Amino acid sequence: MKKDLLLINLVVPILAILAALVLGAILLLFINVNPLEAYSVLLFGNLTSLYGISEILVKAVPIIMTGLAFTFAYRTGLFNIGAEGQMYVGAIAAVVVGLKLGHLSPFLAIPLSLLAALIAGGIWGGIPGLLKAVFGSSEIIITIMLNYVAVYLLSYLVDKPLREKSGFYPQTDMIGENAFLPVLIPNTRLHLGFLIALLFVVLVYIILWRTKLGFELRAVGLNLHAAEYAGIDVRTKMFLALALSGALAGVAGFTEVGGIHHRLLDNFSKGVGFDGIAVALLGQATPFGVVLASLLFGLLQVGANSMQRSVGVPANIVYIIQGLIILFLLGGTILARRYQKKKAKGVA
Amino acid sequence: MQPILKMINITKTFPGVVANRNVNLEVYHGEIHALLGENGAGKSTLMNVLYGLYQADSGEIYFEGKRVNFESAKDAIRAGIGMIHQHFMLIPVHTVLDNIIMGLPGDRGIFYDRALHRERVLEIAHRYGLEIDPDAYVQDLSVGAQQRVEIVKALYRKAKLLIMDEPTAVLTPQEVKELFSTLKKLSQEGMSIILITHKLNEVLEVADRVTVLRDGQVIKTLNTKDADEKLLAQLMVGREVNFVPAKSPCQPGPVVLEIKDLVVKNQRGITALNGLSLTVRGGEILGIAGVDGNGQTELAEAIAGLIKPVAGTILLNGEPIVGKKPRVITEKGLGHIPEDRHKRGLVLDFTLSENIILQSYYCEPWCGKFGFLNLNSIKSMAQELLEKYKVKAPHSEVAARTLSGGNQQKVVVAREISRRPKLLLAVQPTRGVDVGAIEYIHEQIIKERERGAAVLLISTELSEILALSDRIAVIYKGQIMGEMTNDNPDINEIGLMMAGIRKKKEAS
Repeated sequence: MKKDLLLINLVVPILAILAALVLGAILLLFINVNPLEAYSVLLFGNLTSLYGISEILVKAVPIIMTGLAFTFAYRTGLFNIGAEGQMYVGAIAAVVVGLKLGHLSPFLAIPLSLLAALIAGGIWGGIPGLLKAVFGSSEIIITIMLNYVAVYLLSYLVDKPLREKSGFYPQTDMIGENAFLPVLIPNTRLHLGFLIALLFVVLVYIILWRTKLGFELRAVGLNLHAAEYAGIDVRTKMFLALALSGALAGVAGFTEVGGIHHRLLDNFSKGVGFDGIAVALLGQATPFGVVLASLLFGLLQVGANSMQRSVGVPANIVYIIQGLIILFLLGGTILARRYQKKKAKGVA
Repeated sequence: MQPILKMINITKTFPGVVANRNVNLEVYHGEIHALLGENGAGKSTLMNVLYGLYQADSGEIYFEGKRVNFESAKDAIRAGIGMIHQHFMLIPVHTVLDNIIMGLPGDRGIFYDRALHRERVLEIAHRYGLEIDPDAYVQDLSVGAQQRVEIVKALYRKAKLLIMDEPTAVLTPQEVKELFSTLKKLSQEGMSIILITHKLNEVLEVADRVTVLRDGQVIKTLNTKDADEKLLAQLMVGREVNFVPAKSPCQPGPVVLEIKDLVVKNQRGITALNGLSLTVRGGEILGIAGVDGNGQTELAEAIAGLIKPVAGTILLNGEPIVGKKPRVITEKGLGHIPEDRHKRGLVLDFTLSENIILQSYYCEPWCGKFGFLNLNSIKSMAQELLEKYKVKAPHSEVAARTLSGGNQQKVVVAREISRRPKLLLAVQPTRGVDVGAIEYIHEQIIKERERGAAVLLISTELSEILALSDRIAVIYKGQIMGEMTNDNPDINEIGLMMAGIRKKKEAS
């Protein structure tokens, strides 16, 4: 059994990454690029400098949070596809607090904007949770649709009510400096958000595997009927799981606003919410797996820019590789499961 | 006489498991040959090898004297082997005739000559005394009739050897009798039949010879006239088995469970319980006999608070529990061994520890203040319980999925009994469980009665009801057809009631 777990949790993801890279290499050959040259920049180019490494971590921070968000709901048997939108409303809330209270001491301003992001994300995740609990609506559809609502809500806010005073760009003013997340290493962009994300990793692990609530959520996720039999209120737990999942995604908005942009920009995320789904799957829906997978995605995304600069390969090739990783991962998981089932069969 | 089927030295391994080891099996023309063994003994694997669903690692199969190597079930069917699975492979919304001819080559291109087929099907049915209506829809047929359709289907494909996988699991005693007389008639006409079963009485009743499998090996092949239940059980389990657990005389205490005029609709909105009433006292076992699907599931779920009745009352120790949440009812003293351990009883991907605390994870000492689980004390308690209830598992931290059915069920039983319930609701407590575990679980249920708990036993295995109950009630279409004490009960009468026929006029 231990060996079986190893197969799915470790061997399959690693093989999926390798297979995606091989297929990516073939694509590179088609556009007359030497894959070895491109990959050496993509994979190792940023590991040689402190700045490069710090950029990888910076990219990984919001992906860790959205990955945790997906993981949390997934463990309860729910698919939260709405991390993108939840991150947006988290960012909106963090910016509003940063604009209004950014003059307070950082010890107040930062926790307050974190709290605001948690609450906003929690509401955005709680809506599909409530609909699921009361009407049994599909959380998948509702979370997807709420993404659009959040994206355009943000567009509207930066266009009209929260537009910067100079009125030039569709963006808000800078938040108060006391609400900036402090930089951890001088001359890099690595900010406190990284540590906050790691804190949430540990927190999610503890909640899911060390507490009563986590026991209930995992029971609902693995066997709804048995959970019901055990007297667990399945509907309440589903609502709670989606609300907390949304809150986690909201934190991604907080780290991006407080640590990087320091203001609200239209379309500031390039699909970080969806990267979260990918890293959660790649990390086998475990908090520590999410960290590793997020670091990989951070490395690929930062490396993509370097690759574009030095080898002239379009950075978008990385999104193809990311997609391939997930495809190979899902396929590989199915094959591994089938292999195990075959092995287990016949005992009957 | 030349045997119709000869399997020589069949070995089939799955990674880590030898399912069949050098198995030899000979079946003669016109013989009913029972394949007896516990779950996991390798009966199904052997038959799947024969039927072409699995390929053997080594060994030879001769059918009608010719060496055969079936690549798929299609080949086996073409050669003249028919298999009737435990779960029928019929399409409910099609007619009997459609089900029988489905998959045959067309008569005119892709079209069937229905009239011709109809005639031929009826002819076969008449010849073997299998009463079927070719124009009825399968969904309207009783389970016994569906089984007859399966048999005709196999005969229509010119089967010479019929494999029947646990055919009696879903039948009433009368239907079983009917089936057995059909099988005997078929064998007299020269049909060879392999009967897969784990029920000893069936082997003795209907089979000519029996091959006993244990741990993937043939223990012995013998004539049934040289065998009795005790011998067969011993061969099957490898040690002596107590069939009827020892039980002290019943000393009923106060009423623990009282159900009055209970009406329950199932999920599809169909009335599943229709004014059912019963009472169970402390220190007694009330057995509910009945054919599967007559409201047993709904009765159990209503008591456990998992579905809300439409009308009626349920009193547990005098307190009404209709409309109460499952946890409240559990805390009032219900222990519930659910019908389906995979669906309700266990979270298969949870560890044994987690499954053991499933009903009490939120209480001290498993859960401390602030909602943190006390993993160490949970683990040591679980380990203790596994040892006490003789669950075969490497340790308490393996997933429940990895255990055999019998050991999984023991985990459920251990969890429910260790909470010392006032009412033990045991639904199909030994379904799909090996003989050794059955014996053990039965002992535990009787121990609960001896302790003074009220036990409501719901089972479709009449032998189980007869072995354990103090009183027997028969459920049919959501009502109690009749009730009797388990003191030389008239089995024929129980059987009739299970089929919905009230023999005597009674003033219930």
